[in-house]
Amino acid sequence: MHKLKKIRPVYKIAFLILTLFAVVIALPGCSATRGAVARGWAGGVVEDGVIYTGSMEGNLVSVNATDGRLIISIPLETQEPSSGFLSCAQGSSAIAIYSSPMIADDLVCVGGYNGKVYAFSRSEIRQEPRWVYPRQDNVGGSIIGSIIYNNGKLYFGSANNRVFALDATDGYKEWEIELPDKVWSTPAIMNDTLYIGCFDKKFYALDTADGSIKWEFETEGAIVSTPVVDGNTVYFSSFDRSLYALNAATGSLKWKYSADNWFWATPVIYNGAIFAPCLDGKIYIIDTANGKKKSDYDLESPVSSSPVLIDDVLVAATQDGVIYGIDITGTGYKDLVNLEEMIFAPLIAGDGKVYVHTNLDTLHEVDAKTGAKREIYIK
Amino acid sequence: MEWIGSIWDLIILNPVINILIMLSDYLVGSFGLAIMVLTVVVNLLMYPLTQRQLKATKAMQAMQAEIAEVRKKYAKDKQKAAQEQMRLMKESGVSPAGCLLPMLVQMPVWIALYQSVIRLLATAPEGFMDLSQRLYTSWPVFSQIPLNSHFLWLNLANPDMFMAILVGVSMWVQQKMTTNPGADPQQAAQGQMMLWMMPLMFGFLCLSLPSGLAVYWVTSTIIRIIMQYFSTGWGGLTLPFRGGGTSGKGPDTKKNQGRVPKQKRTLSADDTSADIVIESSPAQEERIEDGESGSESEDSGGSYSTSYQSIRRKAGGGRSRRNKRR
Repeated sequence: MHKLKKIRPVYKIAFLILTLFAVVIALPGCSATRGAVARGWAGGVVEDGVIYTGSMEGNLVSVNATDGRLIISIPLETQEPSSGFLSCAQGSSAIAIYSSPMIADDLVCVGGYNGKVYAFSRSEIRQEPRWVYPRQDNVGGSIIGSIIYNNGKLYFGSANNRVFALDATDGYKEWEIELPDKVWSTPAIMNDTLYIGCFDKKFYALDTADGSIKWEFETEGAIVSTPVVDGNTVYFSSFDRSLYALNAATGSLKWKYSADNWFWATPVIYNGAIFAPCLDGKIYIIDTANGKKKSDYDLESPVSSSPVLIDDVLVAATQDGVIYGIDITGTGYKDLVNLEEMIFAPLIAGDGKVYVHTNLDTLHEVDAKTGAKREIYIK
Repeated sequence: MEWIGSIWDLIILNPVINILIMLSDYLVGSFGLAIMVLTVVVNLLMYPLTQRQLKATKAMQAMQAEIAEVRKKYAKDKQKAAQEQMRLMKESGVSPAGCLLPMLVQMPVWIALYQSVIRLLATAPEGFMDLSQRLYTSWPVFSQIPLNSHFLWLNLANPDMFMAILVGVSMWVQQKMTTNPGADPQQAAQGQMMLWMMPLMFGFLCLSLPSGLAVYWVTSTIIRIIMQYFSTGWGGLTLPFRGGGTSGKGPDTKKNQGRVPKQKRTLSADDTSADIVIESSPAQEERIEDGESGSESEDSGGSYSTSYQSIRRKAGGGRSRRNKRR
């Protein structure tokens, strides 16, 4: 029998260093990948006194807006965790939801990070969806942007480089078109044209009838933002840190405005001015006619959550959890409340109130004028 | 503790992230190439430290036999043994810190590279949010995001089995080069542990981490193998095309590990008709095996120091002895 060998101090130290190295790699790696692990940040919609949102547990949640009572919480689906050896993935099998639920007549529809679209009946809401697209497997890539509804059709983009149009009634595919790269952008529709951005740095105008490309406009960065159409102008932002205004019919550039970081959130247009939140911590107020900056509000924390307009108050949320009320008539802004939770999800407007979905998976109701808040549990 | 993270991000992590993006832009948008180039540059900058570490490690290995003798000699007086060991190290100008300090200094750089790669390969929206706050507004890096994650056959954001194997194999080779083939049994066992632990650990890590990291690890390890070769030779690595020579340590080096002292021992010398029979203490064996260039010593037929006088040649006896062993 061999004697138990003593380990020399040098080897001990080397062993400790290696172990430390592995731990240091694993832990910051996990924290680094935590930023890369999809957790979801769905906004939502308020319809007939009911708030619909997607929870970080992968559930479609409906809440009574009056008393904050949870009506139903439906898991979209469960999936196998994609963990491997020493994976940082949590044990949860929830599907991340970035797509804000939307209303299509009697349906409430939501897209999942698993690449599926789920449609539930609102009048007789129950655990089973009325339909799922596709019936089997998934569309081939994650759905990050929200779905929009127009004239009986649902439109959305996916990370497998495609834009889809579905029949809202039964979820059958009307058409799909392949673009050169991922599509995270939420589409916007005006008349018979669908506007959408792509990772290939191009902005596309598609025919809603068949998905054919009407025109395209190239920028210097990937496009993930949601476009806004106002009159004959379409506004969107690119990863080149610019906000663009294009002629909606021809795709010609009207103007562009550049900032210090990405315009991630969807801007709001009011009375000849575009209120554009930026990840540099400012909200820029730009003249829609010529692209000149009128003023800006420095909120000192990135604004990735799309703001909402309630009466004459633009409500915006910073990533560090402060809710601001900006008087759009130009008298300034004030902080309404500090929720002290990270906010990435688009804000939800409803009946003089703002609903804020935080990274702790809590829904906060904030009064747009007074800042009075109420916590709504959606778990 | 949060301020430590902030300083780390400000001084180390964010610069590395921005440099990687810029490199990627210059290298035809290939993030894989950017990882490799930055790894090479960082390794070259670290070369003096690496060199120091390699030399110190080699010196420590060279002393192991003497240390073993001291231990044996003062087996019953541990304090004395420790004192003697310290004296030996002092006389030779060797310090364990010489091996470990450079490693400690280099670790933050490796960790920063690792964290940068994993952050830049973010695929979920949260990763983009994180990145947006790390990019330099005065550099043209914003429009480069997202980086092209395809490199050769790899999707750098996903794990890859072949790269995991490559990481394990390259690390094994590098580790093997650092092992001391003529070590005493205790040291040999420890060497074996280190030899397998690192490659297996990192190989398994690669099975669940983005293959971009594996590209970094493989590049880094290959550079270190090259540096190590020019600094200390092949060390404990047996290469078949080298006629079984491991810096002149013979093909039966492994068998020789853990030998009982004072035994006769046959070294391989295929190009000679004579065996070299060494009657030596473990310390002497150690020195011969760890000689500055063992193979040269064999070829020259004895350029060892005067303390190895017990080496003698037995003409004609070698072949039969070798056959017997087989």
